[in-house]
Amino acid sequence: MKPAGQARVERRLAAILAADVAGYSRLIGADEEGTLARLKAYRREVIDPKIAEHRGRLVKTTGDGLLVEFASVVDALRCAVEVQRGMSERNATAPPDNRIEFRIGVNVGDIVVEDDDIFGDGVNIAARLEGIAEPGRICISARVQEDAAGRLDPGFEDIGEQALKNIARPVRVFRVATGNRLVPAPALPLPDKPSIAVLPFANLSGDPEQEYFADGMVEEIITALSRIRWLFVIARNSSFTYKGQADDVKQVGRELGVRYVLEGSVRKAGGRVRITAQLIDAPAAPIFGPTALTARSKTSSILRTKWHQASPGSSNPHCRLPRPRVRKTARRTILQLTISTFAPMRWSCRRQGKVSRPSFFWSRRSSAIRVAGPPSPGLRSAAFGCLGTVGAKIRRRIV
Amino acid sequence: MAGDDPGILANAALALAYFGEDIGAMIALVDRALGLNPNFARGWYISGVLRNWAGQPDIAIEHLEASLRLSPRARVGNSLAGIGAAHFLSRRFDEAVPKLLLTIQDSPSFTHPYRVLAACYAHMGRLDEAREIFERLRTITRGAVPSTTRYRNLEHRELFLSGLRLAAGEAT
Repeated sequence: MKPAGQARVERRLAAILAADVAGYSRLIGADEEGTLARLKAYRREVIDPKIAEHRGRLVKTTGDGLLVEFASVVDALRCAVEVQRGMSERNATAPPDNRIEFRIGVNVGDIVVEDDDIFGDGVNIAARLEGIAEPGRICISARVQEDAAGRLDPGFEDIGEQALKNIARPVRVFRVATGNRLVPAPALPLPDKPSIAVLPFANLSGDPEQEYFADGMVEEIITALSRIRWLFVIARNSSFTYKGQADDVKQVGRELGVRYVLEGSVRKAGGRVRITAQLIDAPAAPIFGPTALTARSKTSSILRTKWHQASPGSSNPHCRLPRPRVRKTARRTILQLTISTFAPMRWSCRRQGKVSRPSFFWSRRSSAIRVAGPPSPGLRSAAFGCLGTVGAKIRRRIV
Repeated sequence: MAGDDPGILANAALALAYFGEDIGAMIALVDRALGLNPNFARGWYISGVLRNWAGQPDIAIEHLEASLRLSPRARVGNSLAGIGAAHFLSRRFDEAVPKLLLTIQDSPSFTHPYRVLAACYAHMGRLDEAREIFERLRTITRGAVPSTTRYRNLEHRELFLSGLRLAAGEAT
């Protein structure tokens, strides 16, 4: 039972936006009047209208900071995104050391309301999120991301659990895409021909030296695929921005505007290198994979590598290269990956009526050979064997 | 060896065109590079730049957009600068300004978009903004008004230089 006279505490669930100006003291020190005037103008032109537009309530201001309460997470995040976009436009022509840039944190949680002010963990976490945001950026808690996902998708980057000052438990934090990508980005439309992005292969060797090999191989695959006229291939500069990131492939496909994504890994154990590739239909599911090739080093040179197939009945059911072992260069192995990559796409396009060639297998074979140059009879037979198996597998799966 | 290397062909074409080589021949070189590798994002970018210099801004926009589409996560500054310049050359000043502002934000030390933006503002009659951009340009480079331009089309060259002179406060 409550003691007599104790006021009932008013609580409610709310979305909290906390913002402050990065480097405020430096800006004030450099030009006090100018900074205050500009800040006032930004409040009048950008921030206050956006808060009103998204039905927020300005709880308080603290010189360079402000605290806003929203009834809806989506409204709070949308407001944050639009404020940062507006500031970004205004900062475009300002010298870098004279920009007024906000850091914003958004959280949703239980708050205590007292005399129009708000308190509680929900508020504290929003303020701490703002503290870890970079200038011009937004950090949100996982709960905000969950609530906003599907309704507003500016692009979220999971930066993991963060220990926030004076907050008992770690909070999982997402960074919201900023800059030119602040606008809720619609998925890029698919090109009118088969499209693919080849992501950097993961180096599972534990040997940093293999990083170069993996990257070089992916570059070779991209170059080989790029020369195919009927294929749309995302440039290396863009696909390598995903290096080291564990992104959802569907999201990657959407961001790059491609139908297919090829991902894979390289693993070196002893004298062997194992390369695994998987082609994924980004809107749907894996088309095949993983398809693996194993190489045994003959010398220390990558180009003098003896490749052989994983033996039938081994852990590699998708690649059936004929015996005896055939010697191939790294480039020829890439040919196999290339064939494996675009054969099912070609087939899939034919199913959709986009390719009208009478013989699917013939067309993809000839394209493959043209890409990599004339292979040896042994390689041709190996490559076609692999191709036939993959094609038949896809056919069985889809038909 | 270079004859079938799209990277060498396109970059050589850009360098030679920059130093005054026949622009039509250089465009043919880039076309050959793109024939060899139709997914060559930098090749499309170079082609867009050369088309601007050759006086074909609408084709330039198409090619620069193709470059952006092939590499959607690369830095957008250079391609946007080309698109902004193409709108400027086509006298679509309102469309040029946002592209050029974004370019400056993305690549603040890239001088060309400052020049085009200053000229653009000047032709729009926004002389204060033109002069402000021009002053910022002068903090980056001493040669704010170039003695020559890469634009082969006389009308485009005059449009660019007259705008820049206005922004600089000189009589045209």
